[in-house]
Amino acid sequence: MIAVRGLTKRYGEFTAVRDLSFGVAPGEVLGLVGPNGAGKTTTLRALAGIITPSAGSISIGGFDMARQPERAKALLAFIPDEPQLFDYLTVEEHLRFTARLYGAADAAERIPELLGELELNDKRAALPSELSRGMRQKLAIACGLVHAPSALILDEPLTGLDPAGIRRMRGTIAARAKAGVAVLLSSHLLHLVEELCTRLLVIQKGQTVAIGTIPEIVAGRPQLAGQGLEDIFLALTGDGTPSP
Amino acid sequence: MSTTGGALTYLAVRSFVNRVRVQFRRVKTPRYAIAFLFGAYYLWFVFSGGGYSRYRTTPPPMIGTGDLWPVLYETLLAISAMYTWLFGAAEPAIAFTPADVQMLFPAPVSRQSLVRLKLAQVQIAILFSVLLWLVLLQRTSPLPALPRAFALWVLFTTLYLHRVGASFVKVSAAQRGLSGVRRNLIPIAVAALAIGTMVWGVVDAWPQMQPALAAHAFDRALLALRDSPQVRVVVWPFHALVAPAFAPTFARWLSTIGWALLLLALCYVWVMRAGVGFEEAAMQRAERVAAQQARQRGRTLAPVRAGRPAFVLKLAGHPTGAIVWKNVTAFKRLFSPRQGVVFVIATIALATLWMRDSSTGAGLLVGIAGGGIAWLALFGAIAVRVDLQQDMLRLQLLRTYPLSGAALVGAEIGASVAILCAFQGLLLAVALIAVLVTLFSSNSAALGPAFESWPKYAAALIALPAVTALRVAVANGWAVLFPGWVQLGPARNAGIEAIGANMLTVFGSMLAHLLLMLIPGLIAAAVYFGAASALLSRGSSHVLWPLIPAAMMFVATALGELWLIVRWLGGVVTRTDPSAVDTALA
Repeated sequence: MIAVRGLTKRYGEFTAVRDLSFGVAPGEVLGLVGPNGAGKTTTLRALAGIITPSAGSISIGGFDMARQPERAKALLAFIPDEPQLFDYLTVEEHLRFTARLYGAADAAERIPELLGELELNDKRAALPSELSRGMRQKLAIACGLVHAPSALILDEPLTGLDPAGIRRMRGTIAARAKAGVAVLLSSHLLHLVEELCTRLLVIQKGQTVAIGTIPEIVAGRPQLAGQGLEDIFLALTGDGTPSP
Repeated sequence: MSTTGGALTYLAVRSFVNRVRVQFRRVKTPRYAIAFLFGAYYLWFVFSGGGYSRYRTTPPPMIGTGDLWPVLYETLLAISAMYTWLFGAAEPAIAFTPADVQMLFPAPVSRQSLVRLKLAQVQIAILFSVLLWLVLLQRTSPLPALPRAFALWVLFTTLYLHRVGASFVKVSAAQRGLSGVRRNLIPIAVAALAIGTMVWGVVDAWPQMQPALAAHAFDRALLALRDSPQVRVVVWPFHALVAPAFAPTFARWLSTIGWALLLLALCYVWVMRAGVGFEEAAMQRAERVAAQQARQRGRTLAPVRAGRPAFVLKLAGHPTGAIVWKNVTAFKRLFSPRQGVVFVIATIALATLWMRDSSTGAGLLVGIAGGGIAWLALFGAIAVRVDLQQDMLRLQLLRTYPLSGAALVGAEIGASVAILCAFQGLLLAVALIAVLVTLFSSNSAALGPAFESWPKYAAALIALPAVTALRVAVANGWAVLFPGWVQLGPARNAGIEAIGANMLTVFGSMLAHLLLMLIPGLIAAAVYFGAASALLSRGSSHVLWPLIPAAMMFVATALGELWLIVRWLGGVVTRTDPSAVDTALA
């Protein structure tokens, strides 16, 4: 569903992402992890069509992001860590607006379901300025799901959510993956990544450090056998801080 | 120097240096450099009197000359001080940032040190004001610049300290649980005393004031009032502060500056010894300001409440319909058109009654409506900003939409054009009603000349949406191409380059609009003159009729231009990195 080949993004002389290649199949949850400044957000933004890659190709559902961006984006939902909402549209209007934008004419039934699923029913007539940070994040997630995307890109989706919201969100992501959605999840919460993701992509300084399931990653590095994801991550990214 | 004093000095100095460095770094970018040069030239032009000296043979009137101006300044300062005491909020007049609150309030820093830090930081603004006033007052007396600058610095610093001190008194009163009149009991008493003394002064000076007032010499009357002993007492502190800045000679300056310095010292001691626990009120203010700024950076003003959308958005349909709906709904919620509609209906109703028998009134109303329509066509795009002038701030979000750049730009422009045309339509309805009322009144003959030239009006109406659309396209194009020059959303930029950027935006947009209308205008003119000369050669007197096909040609050409603009801007929007917009606005 998501296919990335040789993705490179340069800003002047600085290369944020270098020759990144990976794929996410339907029903798969790929965890994108890396230290701060590794190029995760740049990668996700390029996948969402927000920034244009300097080199390489991105395809969503077989549609090339450079040549057929509208077709590719129609299959996609990008949920950033900082929710971007229109201050003058209510919760429900955000969903209707997004549904129309993505051509989801059948969203009429899905909107109340989503409002219920994300506990936004009581806030359907509220403006974003009347919502808490967590509620705003839930609305951004609901907007991402309203057109039933085939590929879901999440950048730190749990930011601002309370424990109940985190649990619910984990269920939502898992349910979408089970329904055949390809999910690319970036998060620093390694326990979430470990729990949800079927495969991992570890990047550092814009380059792939490791990709595969945790057993596959460990198989190529016998010294990591028996260690938790946190230690594996620290070992892969070169931070030798020993675990307490 | 104590440890905290050294740290706060370091903070003040580094903050200033880094701020200047950021400004200079911005100016290295060509577009900011151009804006900076324009702004600097504008300031030089204003302050050097270039506009006058070039076109006038006589020098312009001096600002602040004579005895009257100091008196006026004293009066303004007195009113301002009274306002601060009576109506000032019960929160410290020192602006602490969220970073100040988070890092300095829990630190082992005394309140006096915090106040001294803010006093140091406010010096940039004070020195800028000193420079400004120095230029404004440069030709009022032969007093050298340095003593005058010093006198102005004393004046502005004392005023700042006075404002801070007054706010501390109010904070202190609020902390003691006083509110309303009880909180302002002393200021009210002082103000009442001052006003009473002033009235006494008026009574006392009336014999001198009366002949001046009878001769309409208000300046002489004011000076006579100012010379009364009672008024002299009331305005003495303000006179003592203003006098050195207006001193005609150095000797006069020397004799007056001592009193001003004494007032400065008293205010400083007063503020430093106030000992008011202003932290909580300062924190609340900082949070409120930060929330306001976050909302502004967060890209738009938030409406007070949602209300009904502009129209119901159907889930099925072209995606661009969603953008148009979003923007029209934003306009409805942010600009409250309900009052506008009520106003228009009331105007129509009143005008209908008023002009039942008056062609002159109808003419006036048609004129007002025509003026409004023209204003909306030429400048409405600046007022109705619910398009890329706001949405460029949300470029990251827009770029995720499954829309081509051209479709997005077209929808954004289309929404604003629809809003402006709707208002133009309302004004047109007002004009038409006025004409119809006149038509069925006894004055219908007065419409004769207007009816004869109806093709002119019809042509103007045909061309109007195209003129409006081109103006909106220019405004949107400016926001896309020069996001750092345009006021995106409600936040306002400051600095010399911001002045230059505003000038470039205003004049550049007008020029671009004119240029865009040039080709359609030339083609329309060719059509008109060709057809009109053909009619004349056949002996026809209907030479105005070709204006209608000419207007249609204007619209067709303008639409062609719009198509090209939308496609071009669509490409630019698609290629623009959203972070570049954020950088431009940083």
